[in-house]
Amino acid sequence: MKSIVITSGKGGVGKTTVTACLGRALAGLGCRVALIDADFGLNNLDVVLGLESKVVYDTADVIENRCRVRQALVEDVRNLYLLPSAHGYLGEKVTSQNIKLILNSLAVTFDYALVDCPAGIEAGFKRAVAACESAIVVTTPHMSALRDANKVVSLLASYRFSPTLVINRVRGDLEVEGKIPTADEISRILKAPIDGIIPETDGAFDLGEMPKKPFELLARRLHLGVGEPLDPAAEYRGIRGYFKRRARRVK
Amino acid sequence: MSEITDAAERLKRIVESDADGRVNAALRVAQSDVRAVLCELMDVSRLDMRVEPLGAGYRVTVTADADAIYGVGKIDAAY
Repeated sequence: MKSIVITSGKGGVGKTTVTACLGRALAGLGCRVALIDADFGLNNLDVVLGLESKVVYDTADVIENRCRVRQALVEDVRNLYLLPSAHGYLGEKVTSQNIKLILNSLAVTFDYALVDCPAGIEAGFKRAVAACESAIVVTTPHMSALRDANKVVSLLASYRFSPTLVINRVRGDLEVEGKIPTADEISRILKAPIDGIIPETDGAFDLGEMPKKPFELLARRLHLGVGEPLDPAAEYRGIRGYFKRRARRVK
Repeated sequence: MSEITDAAERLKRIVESDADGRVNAALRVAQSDVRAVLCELMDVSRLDMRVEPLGAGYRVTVTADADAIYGVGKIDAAY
C-alpha cells in the first residue's frame, strides 16, 4: 500500500476536496483506497463526501481500542472508504505512531491511503507527514498559497520526501494574461514536479459537480505514471481564446 | 513560454527572500554555538560563517581568527 499525505501549509486551498476527488478517481481505476482524515478538531472530509450521517466509529475509537479499523471505515463508492476523524478534539492524544499503526493495519487490504493533513506546519502536520511515505502539496496559483507551498516543500525535503504539486483553482485566462504564474514557472521556482492541475470551478458547491477529468489525469499519473496534467490555459490561447477571455472579463 | 512573467518574477523574489531568511536564521544559531565551542579553547577575535550551494546540498565555511589558543599562547610569526 502507498500512503500519501495531502498537505498544503495554507488553509482553504482545497486539500480536502482534492483528497476526496483523487480518492474517487483512484477508486475508478480499480484501486482500493482508504481516505484518512488526520485533521483532528477541524475535520470535514466526511462532510465533503456526504458521509457524515453514516459515521459510527472514528479514529479516536480505533486508537483507544473501542473498535477495529475495519469497523470504523465508511464506504463511499465502490473501492473507496473513509476513516473519519475524531468527533471531539483529540489532537494532542494522537501521535504519528498511532496513524502509522492504522496505516499498517490497512496495508493488507488497500492499495492507497490518502491522508488529509491539517493546515499549517505545526504538530498536526508533523504527525501526518511522519506516518506517510510520500506527499502531495496542494496549492492555488495565488502568491500567499505559493509562498506557503514553497515552505512546505522545503520542510518535506528535510524529511527526505520528494513532494509533487497539485495546483488547484487555476484560471486559464489569467495564466494566459500573465497575471498568475504558469505551471512550468511554479514547478521551476518551487523545485517540485507538478502532478495535477485543477481548473477553477465557479459555482461548484458539491463534490459531484467537480470536474472529473483533471482528477482522472492526476490518478493516472500517480497510479500508472503516464499522462500530463490538464492545461486550463489552452482554451484561452489564440484568436478564439482572446474572445473567450474578453467574454469572461465582461461576465 | 520561455519569457518569465511578472507574477513568476514576484514569486521568485518571495521564495528567494524566504530561503535567505531561513538560511540566515540557521546561521545565526549555528554561529552562536560554534563561537561558544571555539571560545572554550581559544581567544576568538572574529568569526565568519557563510553558506553556498554545493550540488544538491550546501557548503558551510567557518572562518575564525584567534589571537591565541589557550595553553599554547602566541605562535611564531614565521609559522
